[in-house]
Amino acid sequence: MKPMAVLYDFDRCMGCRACQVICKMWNQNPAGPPASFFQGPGYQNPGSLNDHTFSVVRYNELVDPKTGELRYYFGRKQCMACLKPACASACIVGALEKLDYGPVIWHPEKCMGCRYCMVACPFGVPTFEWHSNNPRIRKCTFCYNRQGSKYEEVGVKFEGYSDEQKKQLEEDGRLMLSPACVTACPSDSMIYGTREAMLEEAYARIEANPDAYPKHPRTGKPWVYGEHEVGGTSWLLLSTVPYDKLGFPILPFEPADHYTKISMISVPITFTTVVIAMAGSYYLTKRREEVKASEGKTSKEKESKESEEKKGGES
Amino acid sequence: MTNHWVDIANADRIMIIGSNTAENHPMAFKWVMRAIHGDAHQRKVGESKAKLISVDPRLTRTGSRADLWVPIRPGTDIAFIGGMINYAIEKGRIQKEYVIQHTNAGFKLNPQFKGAVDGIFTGFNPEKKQYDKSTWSWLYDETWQNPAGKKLFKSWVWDSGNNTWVAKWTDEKGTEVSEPDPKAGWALESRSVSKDINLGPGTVYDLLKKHFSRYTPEKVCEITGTPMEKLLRCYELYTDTHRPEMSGTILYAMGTTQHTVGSQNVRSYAILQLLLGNIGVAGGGINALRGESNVQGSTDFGLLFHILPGYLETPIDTWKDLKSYLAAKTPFYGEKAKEKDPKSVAWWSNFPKYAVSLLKAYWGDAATVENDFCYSYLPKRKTGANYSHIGLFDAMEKGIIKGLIALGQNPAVGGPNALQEKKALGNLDWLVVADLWITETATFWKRPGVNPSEIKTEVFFLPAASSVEKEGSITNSGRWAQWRYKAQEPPGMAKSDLWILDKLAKKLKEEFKKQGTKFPDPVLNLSWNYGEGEEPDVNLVSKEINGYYTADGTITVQGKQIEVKKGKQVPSFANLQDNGLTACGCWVYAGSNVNPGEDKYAPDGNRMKRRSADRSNEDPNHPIGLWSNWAWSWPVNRRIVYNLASVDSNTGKPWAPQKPVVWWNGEKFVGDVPDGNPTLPPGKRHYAFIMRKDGHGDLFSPDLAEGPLPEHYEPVESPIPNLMSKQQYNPCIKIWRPDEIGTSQEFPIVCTTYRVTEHWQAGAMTRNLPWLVELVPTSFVEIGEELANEKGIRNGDIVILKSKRGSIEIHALVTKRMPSLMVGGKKVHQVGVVWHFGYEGLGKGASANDLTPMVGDANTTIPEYKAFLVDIVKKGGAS
Repeated sequence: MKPMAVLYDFDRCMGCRACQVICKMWNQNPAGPPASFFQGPGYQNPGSLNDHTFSVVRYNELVDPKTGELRYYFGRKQCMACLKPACASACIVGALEKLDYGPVIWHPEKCMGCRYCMVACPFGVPTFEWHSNNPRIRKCTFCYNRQGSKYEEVGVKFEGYSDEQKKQLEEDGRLMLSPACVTACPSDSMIYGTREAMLEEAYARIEANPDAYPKHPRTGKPWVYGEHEVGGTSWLLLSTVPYDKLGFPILPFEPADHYTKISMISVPITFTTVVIAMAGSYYLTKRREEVKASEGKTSKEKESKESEEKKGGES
Repeated sequence: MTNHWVDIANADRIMIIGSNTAENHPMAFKWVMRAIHGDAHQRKVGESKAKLISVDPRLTRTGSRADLWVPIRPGTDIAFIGGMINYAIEKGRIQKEYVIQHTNAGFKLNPQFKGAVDGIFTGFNPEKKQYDKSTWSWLYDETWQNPAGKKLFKSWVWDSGNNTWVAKWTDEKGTEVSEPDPKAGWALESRSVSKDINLGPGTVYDLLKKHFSRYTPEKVCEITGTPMEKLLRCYELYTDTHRPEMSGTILYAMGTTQHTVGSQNVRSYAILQLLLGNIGVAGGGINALRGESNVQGSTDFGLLFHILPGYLETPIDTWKDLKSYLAAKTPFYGEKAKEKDPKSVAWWSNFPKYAVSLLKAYWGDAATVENDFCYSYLPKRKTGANYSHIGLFDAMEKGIIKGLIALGQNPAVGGPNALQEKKALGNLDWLVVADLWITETATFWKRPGVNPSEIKTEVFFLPAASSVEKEGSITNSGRWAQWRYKAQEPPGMAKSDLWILDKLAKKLKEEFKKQGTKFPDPVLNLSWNYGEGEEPDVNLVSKEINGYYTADGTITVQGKQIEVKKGKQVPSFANLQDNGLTACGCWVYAGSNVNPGEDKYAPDGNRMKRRSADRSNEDPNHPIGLWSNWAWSWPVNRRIVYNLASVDSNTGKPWAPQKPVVWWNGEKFVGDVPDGNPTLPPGKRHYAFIMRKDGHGDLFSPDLAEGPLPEHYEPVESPIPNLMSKQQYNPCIKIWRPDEIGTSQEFPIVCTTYRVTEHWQAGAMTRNLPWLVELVPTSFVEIGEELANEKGIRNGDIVILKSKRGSIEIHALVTKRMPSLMVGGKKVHQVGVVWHFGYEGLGKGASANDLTPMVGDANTTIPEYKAFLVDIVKKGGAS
């Protein structure tokens, strides 16, 4: 089967977060702390991806360089499902697997909890269940368990198609369920199809309005984020605002597994320092919450002060 | 909506004013996005390039997607739109041919009407706060006849010396004669509106021009606080649609209506749209985005106090019998039939047919000609009394109303001056709340700060089924009635509203029969035939709404005689009768549920179940997408109302040939369902605006309480004096609690309320869902950075927000998106509060409506939630 992709157009996103909610519904992820509603431009919650949040809509305020006017922009963040995923190449036991149609999935039975994948990911996507005795690596699965199902299997009939047409539909991924977030979008900001078709659509949109879109700062060519970044991703982003202003770093075109190999040399150091530091940080945060809870009602003001302090660190 | 949701995609300009469509109608915004970007699936990229304007005090998620965001002070829409009307007239950016043909611009005005003098129109009675509307009228040309068959004609000529219209009588040869004497047998034979197609002096257009010439861009900016450059860009962008081939739509919601001038706000949009030729066309219209999925349906079925189902006014006590009711509500009733312009359909002249059919639906066989079809059973409003939400709670507080059934309503959070409303609930003997969740209204007796033992009200809570747990129809803002099926059983003891009402009605009948009561007949004789099963048959309800023949007989429809059979469904409201031969629960829905086999897309006759994907009847690829066989829309499946205004009435050709709504194909009008007989050719047809008395779109309208043209008045609580006139606020409104109105000295900050995508109305349905509470966990007030700096408030701080009615503690969200404005020469800060929250459920927070005033619009009494005054302090002082 051909590799599939989602084309996400920032300029069609209205920040409603239906995708964020349906993501939790499909993955049965609970709501929960931490709360970040009153940070930065507001509304964003949680502040970043976490073990129970696989996708998050981020709110950005920008001054439009063309008009000098305040603009309010929204954008999703989730696993980009790299074509050559750094997380998978960093995993020494092969717990992360790239599937041919796009998803990068995690096998719990293989994982030994080293969290190299978290360090390796250029987008900072995988998260870890720090609170659990049997912790899992948690991240968006590109809905492999939906894409893997066909409409016919869930009772949708495709009538009136010839066998040949059906074969073509299958090859184009049209018989598969699209990722949950795509189905929830009211404004068509996300569309799903073969990576080839999505790229074609992205370029058609650029062509229809060439001056509106930013050029890649290195190549000077039209910029579809994810087309080349770290060897290409299954999420293709299109925006009239430069991507780095929306929290998507300017990345090299070489696959990140090239870098993972280098970083593997630092494994022993990472293993000792990062884990101790992260576990320590988790303990401290947890302890602070407990203290706060015991203080009762007066804690509310403190919490807002703390969230003020945290402000700026998250995007 | 004059148009419908999908039609928004046909617009060239979209002005969203008084609505935050992206946040509060996200599914609707799909069509806005398709207009802007082109349909991602069906159109080529870049083919459609609509421009979006968001007029809003705040930069919202709608504004974020707009080509132009125009800040405006809450409550100044009339000034803003008045300025645009003035701009369009001054720059010649109106669609003149449309204006002449389809609006009353050329009508010759009653010369006794003098326009607005210092904010007050002709005929005001300050004690009654009411207008005598007798001069709010226009002139008619008349034909008189004497018994000998001789005719004389009356017309009107402009006397420029005296600036008035003078009657001129001529005979059949055109010779001027003196006024005929009725005593000599002369009588009116027919009359028609007197029109000056040059729109000269003394016409509606002339008055309109003068009236709005006072709304200069400078004056408007001073009132609204909008930066001049943005104002003019907005005016230019939107008035582009005066070109016949272009269309613009106005989307509005509660930001427009929840003001003491709410109805006049909408009038100002209507005038603008008529001048630009945007009514009746694809991608045009005045489109109210209704706040709930079926609120259009509930309005159609008379949920409001002043209307019965089908927009028939509820009777008042002076209309003692059916005849006086019909005479008061039917234009050209009885002997006045001669006064009707022959080219005007004046559809409301059918009022008696709809009223009598409704009475037959209510009381069946008990309703007879002899007993006025049980008209006496209908409750009558007392003259001068107010039965609106505010009025009802006022009556509860005074102990006049003893019991309340709140079906899916949560006034403890949603009502104006909610602190007061919660107190009023404590004066009731009993309260029934039916809802999906325990609401603040259901637990008002144990709300924070009260002692439950002091509240005597007996409270019942009935768990209700949600929309997917019951079957029935749902009518969206675009008037599409769509059938919805039951997806699953309701949990526990939850029951459908229909079940609850069915049991109540049957029990009342039983008890009244057993014990009797003062006046049991209306209940005992009530026709209640929805099956004997545990769950009433909703299809039987729907069949009754559509209407049926009560006996065999012969009727005349469009000049043809037809035989009808008892018990058969009526195909359309054209078949309804005023003699008791038909019963119909809501005339606008006649045709929604017909006899099986009459519609190939609806095998069982229920057209609301239709699901054909053809874009129109004639053409599966119809460019504008009418979706005529998807569901059913009232009236008579018409998708765009007043659609004959989309064509040149002389030729039948659409103004915008690339997006035709209806057109003359040589034999008849095709496309959407046209008004009236489709085979009447262009030039010989009736006027396009069939619901209006004289068939034209009303630029000048006598219908509203506070004037035939909109005039800017400040909100009741305003930071500045009215810059347009000495009249500070709407002269016709009632101030319910004068001591609870704040001043700008005490409360200098303008406050508005709104909703967010993540929560729903008074919150019961969403504040109990963890995923949504995670997104927006509590209530908050949005404060501009400038004000926050002044007050030492930081993001997330708890602040005290107070109005004359009360104060709340609430989180502050400090933002760049809520700017301070220069208004009347001074800087005015504004803040906005979400109003979803209360003390029940998972996500709790202060209720914004504890602050809002108990004043309402002079026509509808809709509360002024959207503009009032507050002050703000940081809790615990500055830090």
